[in-house]
Amino acid sequence: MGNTDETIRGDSWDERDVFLRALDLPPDERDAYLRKACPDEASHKRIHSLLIHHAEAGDDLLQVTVTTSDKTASPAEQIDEFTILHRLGEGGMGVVYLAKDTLLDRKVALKVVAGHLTSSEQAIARFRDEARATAALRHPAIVPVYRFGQVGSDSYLVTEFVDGPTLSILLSEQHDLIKSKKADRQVWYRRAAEILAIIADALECAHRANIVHRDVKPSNILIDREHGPRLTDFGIAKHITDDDCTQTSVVGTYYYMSPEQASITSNRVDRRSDIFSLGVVLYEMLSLQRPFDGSTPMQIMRAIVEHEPPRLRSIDKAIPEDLATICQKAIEKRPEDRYPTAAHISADLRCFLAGDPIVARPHSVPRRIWRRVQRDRRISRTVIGIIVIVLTLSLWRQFSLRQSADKSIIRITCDDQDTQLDVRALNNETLEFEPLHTLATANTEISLPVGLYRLIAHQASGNFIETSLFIPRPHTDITLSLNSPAHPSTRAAAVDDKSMVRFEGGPFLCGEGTDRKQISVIIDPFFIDVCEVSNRDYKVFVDQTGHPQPAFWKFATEIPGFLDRPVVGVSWEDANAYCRFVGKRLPTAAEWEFAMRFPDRRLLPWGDIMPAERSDISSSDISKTSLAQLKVSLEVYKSRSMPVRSAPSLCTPNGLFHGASNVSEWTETVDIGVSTVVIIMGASYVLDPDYINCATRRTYPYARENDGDQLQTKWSMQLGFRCACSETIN
Amino acid sequence: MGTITSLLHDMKAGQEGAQNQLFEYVYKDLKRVAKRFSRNNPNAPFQTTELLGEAYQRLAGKETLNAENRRHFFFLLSRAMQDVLVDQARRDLAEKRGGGIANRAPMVEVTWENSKDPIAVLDLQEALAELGEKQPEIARVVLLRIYAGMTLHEIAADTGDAYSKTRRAWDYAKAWLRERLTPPKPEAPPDQ
Repeated sequence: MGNTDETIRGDSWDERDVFLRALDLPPDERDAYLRKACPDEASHKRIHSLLIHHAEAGDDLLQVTVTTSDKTASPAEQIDEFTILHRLGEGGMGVVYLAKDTLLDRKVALKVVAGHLTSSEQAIARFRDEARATAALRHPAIVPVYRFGQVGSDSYLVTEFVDGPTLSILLSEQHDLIKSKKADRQVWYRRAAEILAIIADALECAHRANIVHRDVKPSNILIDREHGPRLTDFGIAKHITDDDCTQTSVVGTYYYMSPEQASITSNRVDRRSDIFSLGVVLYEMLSLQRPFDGSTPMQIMRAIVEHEPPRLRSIDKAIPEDLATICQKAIEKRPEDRYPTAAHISADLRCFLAGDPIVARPHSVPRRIWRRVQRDRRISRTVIGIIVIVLTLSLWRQFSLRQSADKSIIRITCDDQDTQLDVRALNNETLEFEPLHTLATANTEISLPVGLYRLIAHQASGNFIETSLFIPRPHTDITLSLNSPAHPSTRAAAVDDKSMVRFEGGPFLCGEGTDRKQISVIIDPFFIDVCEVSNRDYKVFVDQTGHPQPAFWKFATEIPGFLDRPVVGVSWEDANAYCRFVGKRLPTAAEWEFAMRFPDRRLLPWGDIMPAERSDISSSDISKTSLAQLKVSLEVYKSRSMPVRSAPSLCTPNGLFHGASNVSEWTETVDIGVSTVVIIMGASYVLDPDYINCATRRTYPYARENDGDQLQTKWSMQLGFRCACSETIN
Repeated sequence: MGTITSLLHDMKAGQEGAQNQLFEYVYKDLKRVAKRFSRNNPNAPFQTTELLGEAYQRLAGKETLNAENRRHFFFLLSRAMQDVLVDQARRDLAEKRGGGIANRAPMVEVTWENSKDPIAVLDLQEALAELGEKQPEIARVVLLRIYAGMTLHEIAADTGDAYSKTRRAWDYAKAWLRERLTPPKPEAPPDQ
């Protein structure tokens, strides 16, 4: 009682206290208490009412819910000349409807961008500008924009209606298939390459019009049931990200952002940002997991900027190495390390599909380690420690084993006892062959470490025979005969009958542009064949030596003009064996490039102006042929390869045929880096010479398939060769 | 518990990355809150993230830098959420007047748990302001409960009060708000 009196007394009547006390009492005692505790009838009523509300409120007071407004467009609603049929879906920007264009009587996709996302006049203006620019793009893989309009505070965009699922749906289906083990992974990898090659083409088209997509992601790639993959939603993301208050509204996009988009410090976003996003999509398609993940946008963005994603081949060994390499090059952190244009990644994807070597090169192991160290300082000390130990150990080992081990025994036979043997080893720095041994007889045995060599047999007559020798790994014993060639083609005679062209050589800078490091070399005078070795030439060699014939010759009768076409499907070793047979060697990559770009460092044999004949073999034509057709390499060879001495208008000024139009070619140059690769030059008939030109060095993994002890490069149906030889030996 | 406070200190001391860490740490909480708001809603994922995004941005503003400790931080957080919802409600209202064709802006609704009649967010805002003037510590509990999605236990631990005290504050707030927000109806006499 006393307590209650205190409460009642004074001007601050404590409603809360009385309420809580009453609440503690059993319901039937409350009223009696309140009558005493409340100063007047009004406060009595008030507490009573509070008690009732408390009882009704339940455990949770309020439920805050967020709902979508009911005001979304409904079927049969008319927006200008478009009748809304039904809702197709929605994304960060707004709702997409299937609508009918009542004027032109066709189905369209109508996307409404809600007013609150493009709140400012500026944002709407930018959105409109972008719609305008996109509308100017013409590409079969770009979903065309028909119209841009405004109703009230909302903007809308009308595009062609694409009947088919998005790539994100395809991805989740693939996920399920893999889970249920029903998927043929290799088929899926090829499909990934096909889809993204086409999307890269679409991006190239946009980039040439100075439009950066900025939001390349699976949900913006539609798989048209009739026309294949197509890219949509151009440039819309740009306006979203510019509009700072809604920046965080499209979480899905974070995963595909480029480092330059994700980092706050730099905002230089160009076409290479799209290439990164495309690479992320490729990564996801190949591994079915995202390269950069996290539970918050902050984590994702940090991963994009700082983390190296797990290597694809460590996730799944079945992922083709070339695709993994392409993907890696696309998602390089620094834009300048990525493919410079979308056309380049498209070209590499097509190379992969055609079974042709790609341009991108895998990361070397030291580089991977170094990048790791750079990104994670915590482990750097440990790693540096380990490197020091390993280096010390390996130096010591090299030193102690230097005397004899790790070498290969080369047995050389020669029919002429008076022949002197000159052994030269490639200096990887200067790319020149330097004298190593001179032996009185070529009938001998020498032991050599791993490397590329040139063996020169000086005959008593003053003639010389040169041949390339590659020792791919220690303890590879090789027997080689340096007999006078059965079909010696004296150099002067070769020039006379116009089968070879002489070049003086001199200092030369290999490579062009930012694609790859340029290398400066000094080239000695040399001769190079005017055309590729034909099936006819190669058949003489096969018939006389019993050398195995290329596998595709089985179908020779099906190929019109078979004998005049270039020989393909030969390994690098086959090519070298043929060269020995005719007393020549393969041209070095530098010689090949020098010859094809003579005299003015032109990038293509025919210079800048595309000759008329080029049109019927042009690659734009190739991109029209279905990719399925490309897979059938024999078919493509049949329809695309040309006789070795054909199309003179495509020759270099010096009369060299097919530097960029028939088949790609082996060179003698082998790069013994972390993985051994052979350099190949020239665009083949399936490649666009605009991107693979005469300065492009592509690499072909040596011994890609390692069949037991048999180390041999794999052949390709787009890969042939031509021969060369030195003029003199200095 | 100590993490947020110490991150706040690091942040104030200008330590690089502390702010990011702080937001990462807090993001989970934000997400939980936003999820609560959009439950039973088929379009939840989008709206949750959108709401979240806005609150997140507000938190990333200057004010956060002045947070003294965890307690203060959560208070700011709940205020940010409240601001977002209130702003959204204002936009909803503007849309109703302006009339777009397909406004799919999230509509914010507050309902009593066992009732279907929505309460205007702006009304709730007003009521909370009134409560805050009269009994700030009660209003604070409400704010943390509704807008920061904290449980009563969490709030108690946070303010250093006994759970029973927080519980009682909540009981009162519940009744008070409901009383305040329910449209007056013909009343039954107290003794009936």
